[in-house]
Amino acid sequence: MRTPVAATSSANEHPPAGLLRLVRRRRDARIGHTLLWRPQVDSTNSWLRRQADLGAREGTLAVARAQSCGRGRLGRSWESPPGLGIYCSVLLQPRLEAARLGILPLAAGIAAAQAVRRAARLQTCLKWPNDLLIGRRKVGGILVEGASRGGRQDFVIVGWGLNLRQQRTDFSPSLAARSTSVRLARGRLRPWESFLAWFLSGLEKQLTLLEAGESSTVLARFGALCPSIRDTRLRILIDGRWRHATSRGLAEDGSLLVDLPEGQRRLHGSEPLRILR
Amino acid sequence: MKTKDLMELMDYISRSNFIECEIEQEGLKLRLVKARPRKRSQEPASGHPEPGGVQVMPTAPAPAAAGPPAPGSTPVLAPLEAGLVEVRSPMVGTFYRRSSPEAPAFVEPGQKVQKGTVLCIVEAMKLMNEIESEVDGEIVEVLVENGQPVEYSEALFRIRPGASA
Repeated sequence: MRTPVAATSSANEHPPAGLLRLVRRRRDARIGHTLLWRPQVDSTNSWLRRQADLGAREGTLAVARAQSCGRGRLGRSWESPPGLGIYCSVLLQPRLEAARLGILPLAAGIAAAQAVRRAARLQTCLKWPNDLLIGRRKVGGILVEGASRGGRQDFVIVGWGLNLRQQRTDFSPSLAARSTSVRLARGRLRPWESFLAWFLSGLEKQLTLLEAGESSTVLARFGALCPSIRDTRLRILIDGRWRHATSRGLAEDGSLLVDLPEGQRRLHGSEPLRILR
Repeated sequence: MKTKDLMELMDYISRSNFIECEIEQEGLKLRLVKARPRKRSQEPASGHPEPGGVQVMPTAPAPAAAGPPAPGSTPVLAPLEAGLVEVRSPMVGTFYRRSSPEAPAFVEPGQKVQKGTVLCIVEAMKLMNEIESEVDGEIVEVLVENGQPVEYSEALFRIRPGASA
């Protein structure tokens, strides 16, 4: 049988057997049929983007043991020490009209939260739009990047970072108070492929729902994993000022409705946001 | 007409240069009118008829220079008086001229661009979407400031098409 690895390591390290078994099981699936593996990359999103330019297929999964420049949004970094976390990206060509595209990051958040819930048996919640929390600490994050030309969406890359085996001292001092890992939260430490199997099948399911016009189902599922989208006091940084607001649920495009003293406003995810309790 | 067809039609109209469309078919009469994006106070004054809004077009379905639209494609380029083309936002979100606060802007006015050059990022729900140029040419105007919200189909750039250097 053909081994579904499109590119292996330049450092001659064979992909973990569990990952190979995972992509073999998913060879007929839309997402996760092909594995790109490297012990270390700059960022799995950037690497997969370059592979997309070279013709990688939709559904290709890129995984690395470490990232030298793991990224968050707008140039922020994502700490990615070797072997302590899961760093992966998936290439998608969603058949979605532009107005629904903003729900895709929420769908990825659902898949990631459910993966941690099922594989690690941990009560994992989401913070809109797609931070992964255990209690008030961040255990994972999603970075979705795409490219659009002339109104046509070329591709979307969904990147997922999960803190798995970190101890408290593995986090940099500035992040330690706000971060956790599956190990620190006393979850089951399953191998990567258990988390990835749930994530890939969940992402495929949510994407299929979105493409079938069932975005309300996806938004309802998101709401069930993210109680703070409704009737929760928030602090939001708007035009350089921290403002108090109350969340009022999601709009049909996945944006967050909040009440401010001057009236209701839709947030599209670029405003820093804190949950008050 | 099935709901799916109607959704596709609405999506097409909303992204096209039409502001209104009427269809009569098998006892069904349908009139779709596009909602206008809100006006932006910081929009630079220009001779453009609808600052920040959707350009009012005659009934021609697409600019001749762009050729007939392929099925499923969405013309977002509108011809302007001076032969300029506008690049419009494919989604509601936040407009970024640079990849990170410290990085230089993707493009500046006067800069030559090619088809595929990244012009900006529009972010929605943390989907960072790079908007690429669909033409070779020169950036004439950047219409939105960094970090500002943009509406669906809002004009972001004006480009003078031409062979790039």
